[in-house]
Amino acid sequence: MKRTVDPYNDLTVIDDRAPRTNQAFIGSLALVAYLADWPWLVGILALQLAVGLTLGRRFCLPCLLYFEFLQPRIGEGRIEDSRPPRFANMIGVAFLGASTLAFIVGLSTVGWILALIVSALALLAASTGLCVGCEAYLWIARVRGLTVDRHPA
Amino acid sequence: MDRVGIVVGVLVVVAIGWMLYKRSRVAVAAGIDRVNPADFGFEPGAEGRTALLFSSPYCRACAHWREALEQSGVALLTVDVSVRGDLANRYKIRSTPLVLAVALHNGVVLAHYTDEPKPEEVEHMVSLLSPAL
Repeated sequence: MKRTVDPYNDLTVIDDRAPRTNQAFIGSLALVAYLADWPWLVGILALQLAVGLTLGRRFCLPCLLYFEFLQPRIGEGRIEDSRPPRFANMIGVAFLGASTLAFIVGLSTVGWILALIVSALALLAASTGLCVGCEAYLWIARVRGLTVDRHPA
Repeated sequence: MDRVGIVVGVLVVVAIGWMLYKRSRVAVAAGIDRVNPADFGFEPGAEGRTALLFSSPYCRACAHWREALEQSGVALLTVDVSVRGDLANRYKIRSTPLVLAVALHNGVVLAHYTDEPKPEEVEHMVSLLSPAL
């Protein structure tokens, strides 16, 4: 299979199936964590997202699963701007991080509510392509764009 | 058992979200039944028909629509929604590509398509927009 973009160097764009793999990974494992009562798994998911965001796609397990195993078999998907899914991942880190903190201080109900919100939104994004974090990014970008239009320098 | 029930609840919420999203996308596309040609730089009284393509950077399907319509020789106006956020807001464009066939004298949308262009969709657009009509 010939790639039109290099997943590890062309960082301004991303094959849109990669974020969906990541969302399926995070969403399903957060549900498993809840079912098995494994709060530590929520912490690992938060850490995994944070590592992927800071160190790059080579350190993100679902990205490696997609780019090294799935993409060579199913082909490249639609190439999109990578900023909206990156912003969505930041929101995911914030929620899963807050969830982990809640477990540490003994507020396990709060921890599970936050983790299940992430799970629901991630599974919705993986199954439909409706990524709420990405939509939030686009909305903010649009509002900022409009502000510039209204007040030209 | 409680946990299983809550997990089922989460999955039901995801399924409901999926249905609402699909319905909203159809509603948005079907909702644009008319545009104001002046919004896109056409003079009042303009005649003929044009394809109006709402696109965005890195949207490969948009490039495919553009290529297909340019090759067919029909009139085409491309609007980059990342540059024209005002138009994207006015017409509630939530995703690209969105391609419309527009009659310029009254702004009526004759057809609309989203996602990757299929040969029959391109053919339909071209048949609506060809000067012979």
